[in-house]
Amino acid sequence: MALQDKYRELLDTARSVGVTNLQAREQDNVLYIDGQAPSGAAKDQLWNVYGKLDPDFRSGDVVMNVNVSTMVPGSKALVTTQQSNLNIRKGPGTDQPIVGKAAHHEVVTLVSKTNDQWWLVRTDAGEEGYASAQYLSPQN
Amino acid sequence: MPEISATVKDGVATLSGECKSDADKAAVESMIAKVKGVKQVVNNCSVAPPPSAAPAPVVIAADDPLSKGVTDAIKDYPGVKADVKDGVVTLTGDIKRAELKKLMETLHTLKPKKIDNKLTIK
Repeated sequence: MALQDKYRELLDTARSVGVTNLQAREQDNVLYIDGQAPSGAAKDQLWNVYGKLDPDFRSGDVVMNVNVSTMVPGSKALVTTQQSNLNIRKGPGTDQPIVGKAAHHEVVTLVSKTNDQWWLVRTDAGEEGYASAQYLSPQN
Repeated sequence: MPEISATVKDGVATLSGECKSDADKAAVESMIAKVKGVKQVVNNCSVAPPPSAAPAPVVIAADDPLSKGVTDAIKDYPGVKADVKDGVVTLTGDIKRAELKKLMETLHTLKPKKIDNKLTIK
């Protein structure tokens, strides 16, 4: 339980911001934290606390897989690329051909979730395809 | 069985409360049925759920999907190299401090066993 002590503030934060289905499991000296955050801001807060307790994420003793629960099919998401357009692809994978683009900070519709990395999305222009989840942020 | 209570009316014994197991529930029922004057037993006892099982073990992604996910995750960070072995993602190379959290957030969703961050932070 040593890691749960080290990361107590992180787990307390997860509870206080309202992470649902929260699980904290220690296995082979890694603390696995799973759950759904109620908003993008709540997830950010968790990552800020994690970054404070383990500066630059050097220890390698946490795997925190916390999704944002408002990222559901039918909802809208903001394209949060650094600057460039977001590639929309035929299938879920960067080896798939590009079938469209969504602009930086464009709002797209989430159609269905393939996995934690890929979403099927639709742009307002009607283009539909797969986009990498790391560049899609909840609108809140 | 202190949690069980019984009421008797016209030879019908009604049991209520919580038993530890189905066997206990049956045992108390047959015990009461032997009591003189009891013609019928209505067993309304509930059985306590088993103590909650240990948490399910953590699912770690196999190296193939993990490697693919890691390749996708780092493709926009030209200075970052990653090696995947037995679920452990080892990061080498360099990254800007402002980009580290975003990369980590993505890698943590891939169900790795652990992430060994050896990046040089610029």
